[in-house]
Amino acid sequence: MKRINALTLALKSLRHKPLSTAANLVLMAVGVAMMSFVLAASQQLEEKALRDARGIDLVVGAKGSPLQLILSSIYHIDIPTGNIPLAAEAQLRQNRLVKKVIPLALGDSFHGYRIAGTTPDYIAHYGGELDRGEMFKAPMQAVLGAQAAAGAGLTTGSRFVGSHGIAGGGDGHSDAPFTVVGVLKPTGSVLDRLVLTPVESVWQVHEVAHGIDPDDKEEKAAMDEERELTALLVQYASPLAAAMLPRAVNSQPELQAAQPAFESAKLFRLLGVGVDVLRGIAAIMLLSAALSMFVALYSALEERKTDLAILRTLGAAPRKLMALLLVEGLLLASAGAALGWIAGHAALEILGRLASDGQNLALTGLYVASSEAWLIPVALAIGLAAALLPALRAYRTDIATTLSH
Amino acid sequence: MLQISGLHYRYRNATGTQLSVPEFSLAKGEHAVILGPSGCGKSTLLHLLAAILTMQQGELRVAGTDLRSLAPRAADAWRGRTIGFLPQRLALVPSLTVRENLLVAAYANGRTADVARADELLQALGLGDKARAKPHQLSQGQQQRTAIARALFNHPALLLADEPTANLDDDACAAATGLLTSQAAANGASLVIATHDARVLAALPGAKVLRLPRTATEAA
Repeated sequence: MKRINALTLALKSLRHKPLSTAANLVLMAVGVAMMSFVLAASQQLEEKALRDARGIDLVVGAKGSPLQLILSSIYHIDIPTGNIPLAAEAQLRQNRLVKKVIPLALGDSFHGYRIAGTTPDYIAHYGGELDRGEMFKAPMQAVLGAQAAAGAGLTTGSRFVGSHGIAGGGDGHSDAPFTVVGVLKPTGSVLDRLVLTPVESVWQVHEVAHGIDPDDKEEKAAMDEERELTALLVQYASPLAAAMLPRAVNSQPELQAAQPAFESAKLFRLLGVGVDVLRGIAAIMLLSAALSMFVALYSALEERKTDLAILRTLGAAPRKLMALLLVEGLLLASAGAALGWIAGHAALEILGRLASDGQNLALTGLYVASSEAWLIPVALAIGLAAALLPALRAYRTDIATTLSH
Repeated sequence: MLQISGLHYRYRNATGTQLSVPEFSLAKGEHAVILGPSGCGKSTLLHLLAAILTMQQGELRVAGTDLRSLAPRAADAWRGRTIGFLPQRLALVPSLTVRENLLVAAYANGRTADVARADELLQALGLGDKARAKPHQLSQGQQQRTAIARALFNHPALLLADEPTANLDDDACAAATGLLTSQAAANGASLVIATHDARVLAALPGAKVLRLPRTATEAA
């Protein structure tokens, strides 16, 4: 090595004590890994949840738990609360407080991907664009979200039959096959995991299943009256609607209105407790890392006192010795933090991949939460705090005493 | 090179003990031996000459600089330029190689690392093949030679050695003093050795001698 400076000297000193250095690196890395994992995962989930609920001011569905209604009709991770009469849609459309109504008819799934009966408005709402094929125009045509198409192994022209429920493996509707007419580009929203089809397909599947002949006029007329939807996604026309519409909807015996913003906030308050606990544990880890680093630097100082004194006889000012120890603390802390950050995100990526098959949460380690920026000053502060006292002692070293004893 | 007159240094913590040197001088190229039993203040005098400690009274000029006029911060830089210090405890940095232990002198003094200078010194001191060795891989004598090379690295005008022959047998003692004088001469430095070892005096026949009394004198 030809260059000698504070950085290389600190590096060599750390390498000289591999065991102590490794132990401190691991402590620091574990703390930072936990912290970055929690921050990136929670912010990612929250952002995803917000993106899926964006532009939907109200969900109208059957009576039941409002949270369940939101979970089932916005995030598609729960079973619906029940069905509502088809007439509710027309009724809402007439309301001048309402700007947009998107119907949803749910119930079946394919390979764990939910089949959602809706209109092209739903796809447009999430900014979905066709990657190949075309938009559905007739019943029993399906457009697949990018993830659903890849996961179910379907492409344009494929035929498949849905099964009851969202878990997959339920009873099949083998007599009512769907045809894939289009596949969407990835949007990063809930759209990616859905099989989309006209509302009529859902009706048709269940009419066939129940032995009703759609060509029979009497039977069809009777059916139309009984036709149902699962939920309506509503966008307000004016802020006034927020005050009036939910109450108006809730006053009707069959209907319930749930506000996504309110229900998501409730959900995240619940999750927030867990996140806070994990953050607290991570903070304790970081604190113990700082303490362990301090002990290592401070006790090493005793052996290094003569080395440091000799630097003074060679012309180094006291602040140069101080800088040497501060650089060592900073180096140790930032190397540990970098390792921990990589580990935290690797863990997130692994979890995301393991979970993406079954669960509906697609986490990725490539996501960096804005709050993670705090980890940089925190890591530097830990390094500085651990090295400060040893550095001050190095600064004050009495060379005459040190060299003659 | 060195002029002392009426020097008084009072120890801070001891009960009024003090070190006094009435008169001593050394011309350029001359060597000196500070002789006296342990505890008489030899190390203290070396520290005063190196501006590590500051006297309370008297005059002290080293290599043309009046040490009384030297501010603490300037003293560090001056020391790096002017003094080569060989402490009793060799204090080689264990995490660095022999060559790096020399280059650290350049870092301390704020100069760029001169590898050629380091290798030239190591060659001269018979350590040419040890440049990449760590201090713990060296013998005691090799460690001392490394410390000497480090002390000479910044081309000092004055080389100060504190008990360089302690714990050495007669042959090693003669070798060490010989090495110190020859290296001081080769690098154009004056050599001052503080020792209680009479063998050093015998090995340096031309050196001026400063005898310190058995104990530092009690203050009046």
